[in-house]
Amino acid sequence: MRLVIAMMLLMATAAPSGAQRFVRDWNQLSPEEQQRAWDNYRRYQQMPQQRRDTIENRFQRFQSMPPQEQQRLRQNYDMYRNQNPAQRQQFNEQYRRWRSGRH
Amino acid sequence: MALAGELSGRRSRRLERHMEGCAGCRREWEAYSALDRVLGSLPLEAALPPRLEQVTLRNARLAAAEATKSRRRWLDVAVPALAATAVVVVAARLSLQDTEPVPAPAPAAPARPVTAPSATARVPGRVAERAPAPAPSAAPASPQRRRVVREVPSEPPPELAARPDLFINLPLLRNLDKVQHYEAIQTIAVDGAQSSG
Repeated sequence: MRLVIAMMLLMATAAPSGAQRFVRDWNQLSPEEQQRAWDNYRRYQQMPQQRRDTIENRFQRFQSMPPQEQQRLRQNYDMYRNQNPAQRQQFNEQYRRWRSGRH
Repeated sequence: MALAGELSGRRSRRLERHMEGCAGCRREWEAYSALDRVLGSLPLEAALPPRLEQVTLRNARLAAAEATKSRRRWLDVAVPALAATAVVVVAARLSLQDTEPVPAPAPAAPARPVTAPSATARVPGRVAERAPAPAPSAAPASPQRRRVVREVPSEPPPELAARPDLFINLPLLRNLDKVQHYEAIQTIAVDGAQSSG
């Protein structure tokens, strides 16, 4: 019984949800991060509600991912962002085909 | 030629002799002679109404003026329209540059030194240039971009203060599908060729 309780406590402390693990406070952000968050917040405010709901859902999904997966997505995003225009165009075409094949 | 008197005497006499014995040619001759008389009675220059020249010239001037006016009218419309289009394009371009979500910095690149908020970065409306990467080898390939730096409010809105990470990661979230399946997407063939990437 003690072993079971100890294991449950260990699991509860060792595997908290991602959302709890990576929530940061505004004051913990660097000035550059605050600036970026503020700029993107203003753009978010201009989005239609449906788009904002989608972003909200994606954020929840992202926050619930393991740190390694989040890191992978960040690295992929950096590769995506650093594509030159020709690479971006080709990737978007590939994405369009991949998406049409998936649905 | 005979009616105009242009036949020589010998040929004219032969013609007369022929017509004395040929009723058909005689009728033909008389018909042509009557026509020639009628035509000969007409004046060589027709008498024109005195106002006709004035009216014609005035109409010609009006037509020319109308053509010029329509060309000017087209220019009056086209030039402002082109100017307005140029203004809209420039404004849209600036707006797009301004509204593009600010991407998160690449983790592979060395972190830029986080300095205290400088006066330049805090002045609203000032155009600030991103600091260059410290090492060329580690710098991302993206070109330096200029963006308008806005003042961050001292007290952020509750929604922003509660979840700043959502807004920091907004560009990534907008492309979540692409970055989540980045490797699989790159294997999709385009134009019949398998992508190497």
